[in-house]
Amino acid sequence: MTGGFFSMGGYAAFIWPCYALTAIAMLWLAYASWRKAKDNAARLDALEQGPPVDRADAHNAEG
Amino acid sequence: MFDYLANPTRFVRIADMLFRPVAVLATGLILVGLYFALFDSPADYQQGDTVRIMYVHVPAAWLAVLGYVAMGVCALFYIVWRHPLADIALRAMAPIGALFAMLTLVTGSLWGKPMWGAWWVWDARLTSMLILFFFYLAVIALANGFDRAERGSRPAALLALVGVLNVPIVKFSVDWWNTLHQPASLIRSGGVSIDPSMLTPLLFMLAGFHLYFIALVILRMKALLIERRITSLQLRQARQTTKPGHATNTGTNA
Repeated sequence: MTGGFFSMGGYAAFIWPCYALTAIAMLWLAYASWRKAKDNAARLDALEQGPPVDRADAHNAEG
Repeated sequence: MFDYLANPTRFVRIADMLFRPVAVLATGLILVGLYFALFDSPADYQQGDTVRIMYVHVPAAWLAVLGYVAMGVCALFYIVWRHPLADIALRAMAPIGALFAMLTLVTGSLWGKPMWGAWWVWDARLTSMLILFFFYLAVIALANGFDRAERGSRPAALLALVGVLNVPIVKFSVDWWNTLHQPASLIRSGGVSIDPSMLTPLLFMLAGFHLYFIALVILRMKALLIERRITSLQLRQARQTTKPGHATNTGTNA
């Protein structure tokens, strides 16, 4: 029974790659998109914490 | 409603709220769909088990085409109203659509070999799908091909709109020409023409793939909006570092 399931009626070489490639591609894009959103959010946080120092420097220079 | 959602800050808030439920629902539907597709649906009387390829091939193809239509609508909104969020949506959709177009071609090829005896034929449906894939790639290349991202927005949107002309060709190629690819079997005049035992996995997979697309669009749009904000902050900071010089100039003038 399980043998029949994995052999897919003799078409295993076509059916399993279809499912595997689709799964890999969709998971990869989901991970890459999630990663990018997360990295960008971290970069924005770092950048937003950065400016006050610059602004203080600019203020000192003006003063 | 579009105006309401077009505010980027409000969009991010709504997107944050929607992302998790949509992603969870997409995963659930796909898992149930996979169960039916692989365990609880019959083999076809002519095609045998290769019919199971349909459960990934058809949803991928629908999304390749519908994703392109959605991208075309965004392109129109961007060209006519110049709304930056339409540009962001277009950029978010293009890679997802391209991925589905590629999966359609690859799974189709893996289905064609055992059933037609060829990995590829220059059939109208296959050729127009390949052209759709190239349009996706060209839109992505144009959108990102400039040193300042916004410069690519208009050419990419224009190209995306031109590509919309190819969409009816993809859809109706099987009716207009005598193709090796079979005609539509899900939605046909005269109703659904597929047995419930095969319709169930297909509907679950279709719903799951659509929600996956929506979840990824939300996620990618958010990432792109943050990226825009980073760019504008960096510009502001760059201007601030040159400011002291300006300040002394105005000081001497006064």
